[in-house]
Amino acid sequence: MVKIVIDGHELQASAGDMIIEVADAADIYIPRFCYHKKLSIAANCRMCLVDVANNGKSLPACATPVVEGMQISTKSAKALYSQRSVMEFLLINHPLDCPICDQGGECELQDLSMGYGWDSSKFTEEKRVVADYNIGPFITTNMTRCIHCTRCIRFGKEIAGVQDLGLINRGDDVEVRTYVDETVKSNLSGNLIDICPVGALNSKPYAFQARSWELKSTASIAPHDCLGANIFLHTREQKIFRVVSKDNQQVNDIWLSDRDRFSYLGIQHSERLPKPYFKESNGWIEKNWHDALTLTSAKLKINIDKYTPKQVAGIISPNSTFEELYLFNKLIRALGTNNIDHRIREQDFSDQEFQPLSPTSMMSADDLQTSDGILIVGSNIGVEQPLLTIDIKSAIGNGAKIYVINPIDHKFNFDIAEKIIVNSALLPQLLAVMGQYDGLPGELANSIVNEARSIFASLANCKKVSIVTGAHLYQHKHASTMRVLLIELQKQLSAKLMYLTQGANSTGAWLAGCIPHRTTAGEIVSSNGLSALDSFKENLQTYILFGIEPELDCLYPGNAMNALKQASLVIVCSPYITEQMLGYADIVLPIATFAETDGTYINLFGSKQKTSPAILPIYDCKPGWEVLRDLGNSLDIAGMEYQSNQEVYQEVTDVLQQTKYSNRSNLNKTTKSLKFVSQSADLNLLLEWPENSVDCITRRSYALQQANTFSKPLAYINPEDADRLSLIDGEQIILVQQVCEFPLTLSVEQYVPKNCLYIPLGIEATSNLTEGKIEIKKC
Amino acid sequence: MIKKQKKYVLPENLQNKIDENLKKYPSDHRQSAILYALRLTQNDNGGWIREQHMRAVADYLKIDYIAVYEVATFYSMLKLKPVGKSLVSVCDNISCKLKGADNLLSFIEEYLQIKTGETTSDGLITLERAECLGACVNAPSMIVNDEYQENLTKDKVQQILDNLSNGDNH
Amino acid sequence: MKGMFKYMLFCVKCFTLWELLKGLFITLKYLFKPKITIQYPEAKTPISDRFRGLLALRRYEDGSERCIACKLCEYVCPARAIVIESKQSEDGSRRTTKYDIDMFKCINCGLCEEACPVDAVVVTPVQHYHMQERGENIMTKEKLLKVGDMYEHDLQKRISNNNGDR
Repeated sequence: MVKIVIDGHELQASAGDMIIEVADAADIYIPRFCYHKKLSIAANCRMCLVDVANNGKSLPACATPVVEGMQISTKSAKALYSQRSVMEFLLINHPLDCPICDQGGECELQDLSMGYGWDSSKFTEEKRVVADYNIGPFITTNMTRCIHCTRCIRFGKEIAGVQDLGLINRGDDVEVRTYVDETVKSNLSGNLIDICPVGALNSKPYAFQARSWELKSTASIAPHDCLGANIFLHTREQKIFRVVSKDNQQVNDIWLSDRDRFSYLGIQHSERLPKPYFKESNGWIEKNWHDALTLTSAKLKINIDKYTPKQVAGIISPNSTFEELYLFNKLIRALGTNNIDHRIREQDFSDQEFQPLSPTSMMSADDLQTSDGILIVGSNIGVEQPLLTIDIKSAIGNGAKIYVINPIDHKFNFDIAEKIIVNSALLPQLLAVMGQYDGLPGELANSIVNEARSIFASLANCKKVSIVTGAHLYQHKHASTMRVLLIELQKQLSAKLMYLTQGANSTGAWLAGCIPHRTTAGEIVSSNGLSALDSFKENLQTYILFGIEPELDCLYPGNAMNALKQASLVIVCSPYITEQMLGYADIVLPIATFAETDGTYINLFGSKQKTSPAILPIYDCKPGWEVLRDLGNSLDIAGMEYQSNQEVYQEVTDVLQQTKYSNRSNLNKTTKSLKFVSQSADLNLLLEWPENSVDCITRRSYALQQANTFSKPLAYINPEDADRLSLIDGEQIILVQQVCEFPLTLSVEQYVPKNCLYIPLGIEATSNLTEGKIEIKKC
Repeated sequence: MIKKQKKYVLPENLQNKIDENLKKYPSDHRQSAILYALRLTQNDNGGWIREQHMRAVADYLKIDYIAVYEVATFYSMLKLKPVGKSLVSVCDNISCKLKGADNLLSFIEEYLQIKTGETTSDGLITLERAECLGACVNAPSMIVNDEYQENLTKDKVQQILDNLSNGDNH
Repeated sequence: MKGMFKYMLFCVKCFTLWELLKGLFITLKYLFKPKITIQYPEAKTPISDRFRGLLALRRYEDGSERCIACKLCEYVCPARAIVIESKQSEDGSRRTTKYDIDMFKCINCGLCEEACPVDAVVVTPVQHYHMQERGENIMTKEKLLKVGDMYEHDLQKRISNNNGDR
């Protein structure tokens, strides 16, 4: 520790700290542009010059370490003169277009030139003009305004992991640019808008729409992935103008993924369902809410009497709020059925009895950052949870090694020590090999076995190991086997396990009881209901869908579509209406999106995060919990008379506190027989959701869709398979499955493993895909 | 149909030379070899670098494209536009200027019928201005195809240019 | 003695109706002075160059709108009479899609003109305007631009007259 004096305040600081850090901690403000607490030090703007005693020149506070007895003055005549001179230099080429600049009102340059600038400039020559260019659908450029602080460049290198922007040319011609004519590729690029201190990089969808001072800010949660990034919704007169990040060290730090930042564009989309509609013999009839609810409950009662309650299934989106999930559970159980599920993207449920109370990860983001060995199993983490890659990157910065086991060679924005890419059918075997498990079919090549053993050996040497698993695991046909093997592996490595669950509130859904074998707080039900996929396969008579679009949201959308089309009653509560929905639904009830209702989301770390409504529900929409409550009341279900969302929350937390199942976890290899499949000669389907098409809101955000890379109707295949099937790159093919045909374009890629057909879900072209064999036919 | 252009890959002899150069630097500082790799590529491809060459260098060094682009645009000896067979760089910094470099430059422009930065229509000579060549003692000076030409006069320059135009390098 | 004289003077003034004559004398005086009464509405009073009347939006000489939707007038308006909505126009510039001034709220303080960086919103010398129906008090962008077009000549003269003061 050293003692220094800043502006007459005696301060304690640890040696090696920079002056600006010590000053910030003591709430002494030093002006800055290039310095950012999350980025490395560049010291190229020179705005933070301070007067250090016994030093001839002023020193940059961001790059001067403190030493014992340092006497620093940030407001002496010399310091102020230096700062003012620097400001004059910075303003030489900066245009005076604040009135039309979107940064105006929240601009660091504007503020600092008021506080630390001279009122006039000695510069009388012509200012320079820099051409703007298109760097993608999220960011507008106005490079004449750039002051070359290089925050954006350091952000790319250090946080996003992809350096998209760089400084080209030199001297007076220097420019911040992307490579030749490329766009910004990172899915964290929206943060450039926040970190740019001037108006050079601004939000494109927000361009010229509002000024910062007239917007009302509401704290909320972005419910598109299981992290639940903290956001502020900026609104004016019932319209959402933009989303900015809310600082939360435990969750998203100060960053946001593009998906979270630009999903708001889908909220006020033209496909929003304005009113309740009923399908009658003469077409779709508009109803008011009172009639709609009475009619819905009447129809539901008739249908239950005609068939049995067992013929009813309720499927809810894992992106619903905790309160909605609880009320949905209460409603469906009261109808006398246990067919309720939120796991629309899973197909192996055989271990559900042995699952813990919820799939919450027993670790925090901090644990991930401090791990020295991280094993990623079956996850495209950069797409599923873009913000967690920042934590992984900081772990790498601390010396961690990353190992990857994936069914496809995903590109990551961090360095990987070792990776094994096998066909998804072989994934369970690979995990078993790592865990030294006997009795395997032995189909893995020796080289892969050796690699797996060496990864295990390196991980065993690590002090703190984290295992991260994601979509390729829970979507897998033998997910249960893999889960058991992972838990064995976790025990052997004394590691921590992180499940990147589906949707924003999977944990909440397990706790609230939106699973067929347990009700709220893990209470066991008398007889297990049907899971989402099974209830679609069984072709039931009545379906109640909440917040999902099965043709795009479910793992095998074709199965869902077949079931819904033959059902006699399909009630859909959805914020949006689509052509497909008009085909299968009988009743559609409009519900509000996350920005229009309050609710709670429980993220993968188990923290409960609350949202509050930023705008009123548009048209005649109602918040989801109100719809479920009113439906419950009109069905005369007892205990549904809630006055507020808070009451629902209170009730469910009371139930949760009394649960006796909080420590349930019996998942191990004795309780579950392991299944290993052999790799068949047929092509193995590997399905994935494009990162910007994960739910109904993101699919309707035009900016996100423009940036969606994987959403084209393409089928990806390995070059060897292409040769074997004599297919060429770019060819039109038809995938044939029983009666359905999907026209797709073939893309031959090296990163796809052998015997694998990699296709995107969540798009129109694959919305009829069912479980089962698939064949490729030439066009 | 999605068309995929055939990618330019660095020839093997260049790869070997770059590998040799990389050994000088720490293994995690692969970007240190950018300058060397770009100069090699430039010499191998008619004296200027095309976009695909930058890509190839970045791919080979496993670094981001923009990092190569930054270097390529920074240094004036890396050309991103086509140059003629011979490159004439005339110094116009203080010592040469005092000894009449400006006149010399305008003489060359007039003689070759091109402006500074352009190439003659027969593609033989490219004229450019250069920062101080460190040859102030024998100003005015210029570099022709990596060779210094000093104590220049109009006659001397004319002779050099005639030789270049005749296809003779000196 | 002095008091006696004062009293006598008072008596004389009382009996000769002196005060009345004094008043009538003023009337007589103004009878021959030049007349300042104006035959309103046939004739109009001269107004100051700084008179703050009806608001208007100006255009550039090429006919394009001056307003850049910076919303400074909206922010500075003490009566909150201005409502602006904006977006990016097709040529990429920042333009208003809505520019409404509620003339019932407007207090003609002229702060909007002071705030405007491009001299788009201005106060005109127009003091006579009326509305007949509910809703006409909202001056839309079209109306404001029309007012600006009508008085552009006066406005330019006024701005050049006021030049040294602003």
